[in-house]
Amino acid sequence: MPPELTEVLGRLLADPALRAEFRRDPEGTSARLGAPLRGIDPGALERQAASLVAKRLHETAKLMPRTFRRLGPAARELFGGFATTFWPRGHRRHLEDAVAFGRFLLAGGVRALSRSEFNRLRFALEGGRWALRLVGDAPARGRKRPALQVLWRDNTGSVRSAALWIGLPF
Amino acid sequence: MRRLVGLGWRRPLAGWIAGKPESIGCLEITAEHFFEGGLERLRALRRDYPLSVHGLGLSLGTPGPLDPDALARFARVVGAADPAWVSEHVAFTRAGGVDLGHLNPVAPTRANLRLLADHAREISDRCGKPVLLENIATHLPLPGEMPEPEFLNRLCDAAGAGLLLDLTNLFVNSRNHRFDPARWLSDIEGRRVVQLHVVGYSRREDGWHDLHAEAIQPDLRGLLREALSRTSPWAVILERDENLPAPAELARELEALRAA
Repeated sequence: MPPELTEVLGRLLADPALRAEFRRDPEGTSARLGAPLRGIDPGALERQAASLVAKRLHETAKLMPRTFRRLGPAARELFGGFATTFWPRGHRRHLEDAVAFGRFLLAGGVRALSRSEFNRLRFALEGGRWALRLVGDAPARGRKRPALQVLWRDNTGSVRSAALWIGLPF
Repeated sequence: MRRLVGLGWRRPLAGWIAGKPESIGCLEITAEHFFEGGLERLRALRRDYPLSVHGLGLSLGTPGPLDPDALARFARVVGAADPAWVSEHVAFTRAGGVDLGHLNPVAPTRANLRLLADHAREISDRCGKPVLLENIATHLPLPGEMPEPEFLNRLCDAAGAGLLLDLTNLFVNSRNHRFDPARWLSDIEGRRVVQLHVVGYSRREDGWHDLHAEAIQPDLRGLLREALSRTSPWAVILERDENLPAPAELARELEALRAA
């Protein structure tokens, strides 16, 4: 098989609609994509694709623990819906993925998104020496409180974050 | 030469590792963990331990040139770590215009063999270090022109590379795709094997997985003994990433590997 099979596999693994087409019509899809896909098991292809999304979900959940706790069992389905619309690139892909998922939750009006967590990830991705953000859900003694979130980078480049509590609710 | 036994450097273990415990004989550095900085830390680590540098995202199986930015960052990490060798996977992570981010299989064909060998040689030339190539775990076995062990033997020949034999990947594949791992091992040229990776497998409803999250199980330890009877690796690396136990438990696991 020519190396081009790898290019086609990349497309198949990233695109659930293309995989569904391959399941329905392996020979037709193979001809249309110009790659010999004979001998490739559609079920195994689906499992490999699912494993890629599961690994992304796992890494994103590590970066957004509060958000994922709040999402609970809905997290898997929400992330699955998001994951096929966006593929992060390069060595910062886990961070890119988490920020893009946060934006996806924001766009969908999902209230489980922890804004302070999201701000921290955006700051880590987008750079800058320091930033201030207003948040309504800074964690304090098991409760969510409005706060001024201060973000900065220390001498090693690691992102730090602190909350200054605001007395008035907003 | 006495075989080195060590583990992959992970940030939560940094304090323990910095204390130079006797149980750690060498370290494997994941290059991508240092793409954004931390090279001073690597220079310090190399004073205390023999190092190797392991890549995750150079995507040797992608048709076309290697990603120049990823290769430049990889080479910078290698420059700081000054390892005995560098390693990457027999896999692709980018293809079809998409960065899939994780390892995917490459069909065992002559064309892919040439492509992988060219990329492995390019890495070796750029870094000035020997390259090892690693077998991966996959849910997607691909048809090709030769069995996987023959492909790996011939690839190492063509690339002038050694083999990083991941026993957990072999074990997981053998369970998911129903083949005899001992037979697979017997088809690998033992002299190629420079390093072993091992970590406990994970068992789920949908099959066996290599999640780097468990202690080594007895059946996997049996395969390790089988591999060590057929090969003479210079290093064995415990490749734990998730669900990290206390240092004392890791030290016990390293001692058990040393005694295997």
